[in-house]
Amino acid sequence: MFKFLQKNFSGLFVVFVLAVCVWLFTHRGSNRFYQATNTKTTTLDIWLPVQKTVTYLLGLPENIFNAIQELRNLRQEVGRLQQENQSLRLELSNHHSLESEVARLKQILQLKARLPHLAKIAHIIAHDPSTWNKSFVIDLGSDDGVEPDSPVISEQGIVGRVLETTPKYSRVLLLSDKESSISGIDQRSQVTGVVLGTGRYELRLGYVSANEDIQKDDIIVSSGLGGVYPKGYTIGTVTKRTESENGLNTEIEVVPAVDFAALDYVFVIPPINVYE
Amino acid sequence: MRIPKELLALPVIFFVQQLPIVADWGIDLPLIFVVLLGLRRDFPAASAWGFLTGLIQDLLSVGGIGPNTISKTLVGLGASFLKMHVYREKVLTQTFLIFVLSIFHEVFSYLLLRWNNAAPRAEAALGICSRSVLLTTLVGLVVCFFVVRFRRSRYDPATA
Repeated sequence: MFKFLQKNFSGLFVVFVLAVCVWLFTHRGSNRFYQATNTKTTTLDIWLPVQKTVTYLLGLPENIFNAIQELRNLRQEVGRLQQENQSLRLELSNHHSLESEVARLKQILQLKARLPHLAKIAHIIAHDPSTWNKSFVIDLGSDDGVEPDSPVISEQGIVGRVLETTPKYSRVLLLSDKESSISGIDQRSQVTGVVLGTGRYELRLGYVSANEDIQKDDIIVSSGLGGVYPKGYTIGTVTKRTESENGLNTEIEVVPAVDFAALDYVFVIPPINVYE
Repeated sequence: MRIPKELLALPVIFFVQQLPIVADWGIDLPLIFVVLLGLRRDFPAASAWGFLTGLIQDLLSVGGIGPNTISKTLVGLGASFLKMHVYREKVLTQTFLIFVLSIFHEVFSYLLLRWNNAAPRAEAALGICSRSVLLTTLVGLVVCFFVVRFRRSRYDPATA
């Protein structure tokens, strides 16, 4: 018996294994869940991490390749979007400048409609090159009917007056020039004074008694006196009032209504004597 | 006839000078031009360039021959005199000279205007002067930087 077993060990082992398999197979109906949990779970627990790693390793080159491809595509896409963004921004900025240009032209047209019919639109072509003077040159001259002492205004208020003319060009002396003076009136209290240029940006309201009613934020308009500027155009706003120590004099600072540095176009209206 | 290149530079300088951003900020580009030119010319040439530049500036401004003509002639002379006492090919030296001569120019112009009863009030004048001197010096610093670099690359490439 022992000799038989020893001689046919391999065959018998195969038969045994097969028998176990057959037994397991035939008994799965009765205890399927138990078998599945033990064997399968163990097998899956051992195998799946290996499977996962192998699958990952096998797919790695492809993933890397895909990632590179996607990165390249993304880069191209970002570049394209950046270009598109820039062009849209440019377009938007053009739209904004057009909008503001239209608004400005509308304002100019509205003012032109309010002005005497002889008013002319002039383009500023050069500013004064000297530190001490405040003037600019416009592209209208005596050939266009511009005369010295013609008032020059913008949609914001009074700019200055024509100082000298050539056939094609004229020089405009700004309100802020130290040689400039204009009779002004406080719109609220109707107190009159003389607005003087200081050579700097701001103006000064002079010839006003210390007890006159002029307050901060009052608007000063032209009074029409003096024979140069017409009545009722804005000169500026009172920003500061200081009394002298003896209480006799008062210093009134006025900020011009017009931003002289930002002007492009102005209106030249005929001198007052044209209407007389 | 050969036209001096400085003469060709003048229209450019005055075109830029009359732009609102330069004119309204009180930057005096012709002054920088006169100082830099004066540092490389003898007395007659420096004063002639100063006179010409100042004259053009006055003609383009309100009135005729005025403070700029007289003052810039003196600035040209001053720069020509100072070139003998300083090493001129240095940015900071040139900028310092622009600063000093700019103060001289503004004070002298103010005194001339005052003498002519056309000067603004003292506190306004101080504001105009100080802003002009400061901004002219700052712009001068930038101009000097490029001038010195250009001259080094042209005349002394080893130190450029």
